[in-house]
Amino acid sequence: VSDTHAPAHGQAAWPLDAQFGAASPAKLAMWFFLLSDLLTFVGLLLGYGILRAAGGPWRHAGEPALNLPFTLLLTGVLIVSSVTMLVARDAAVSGKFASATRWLLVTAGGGVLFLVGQYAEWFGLGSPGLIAEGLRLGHSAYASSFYAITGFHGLHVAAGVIYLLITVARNSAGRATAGDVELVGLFWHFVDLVWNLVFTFLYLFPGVA
Amino acid sequence: MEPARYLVMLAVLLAFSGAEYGATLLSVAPPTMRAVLVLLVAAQTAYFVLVSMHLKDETRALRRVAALPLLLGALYALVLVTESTWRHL
Repeated sequence: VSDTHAPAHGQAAWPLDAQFGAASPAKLAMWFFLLSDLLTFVGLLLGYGILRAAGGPWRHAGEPALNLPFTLLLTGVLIVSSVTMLVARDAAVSGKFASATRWLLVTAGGGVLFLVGQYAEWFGLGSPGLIAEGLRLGHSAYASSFYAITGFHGLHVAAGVIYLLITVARNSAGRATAGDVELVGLFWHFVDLVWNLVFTFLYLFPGVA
Repeated sequence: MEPARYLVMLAVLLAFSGAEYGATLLSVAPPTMRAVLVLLVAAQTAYFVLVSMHLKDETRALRRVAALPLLLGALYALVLVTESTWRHL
């Protein structure tokens, strides 16, 4: 096969595939992983939806309402980090790896900020968190679905931050390729995409019930 | 990509989330509100996948592979909205 796609920085050149074009096997694997992971989130949200549609009071007496403006702010942080991830990806594709490293660090910083915000929401930071205010895991479907879904997503953010920092380290050592930066970008955008679904269905839907 | 393009993407994504939050402040019937929220988040998800994740630049086969689970998610939302609307009739 003479027509090949050569990813930046000396990685193996793969022949153009009849179905998937220039997408590398690693990129395809990431897409399949993300799609299967998406179905896990859909399953969690579906369980939440079934519980919520079952009728009866969703939020019991003594359970706090969710802080929507604060969560909107956290959503904004993730969206900004998604755009900085794009800048990092484009810099890597252009061969500007020092710039890519900087933007990857900014992206990881956004993830850390989000996690701190989620910690503050759950446990409190300066003011009481949801747990102290009476939203206890296992006490109601509202509390359990909230902690299960936001906790599972929080694990993804933490994993994404670790993945970003590993890519930064490999990039600094000159061992990361543009394809590697693109892969971590796909994962990070996915984390942001899922959060937007969580924000809408878990936070905003109860507000209109 | 030019810096202006990044700002446009940022503005679009933030506008979707802002619009969803703003929609919950309006006094409209819950079924209508839910439909509006689902439409907004579906549009935002499509924008994310096609533009941020560059799926629009991939081959048709990969786009189809990626679209299937997303459509299942959309179907789930449609079922919930329909069921909610039916209960409130």
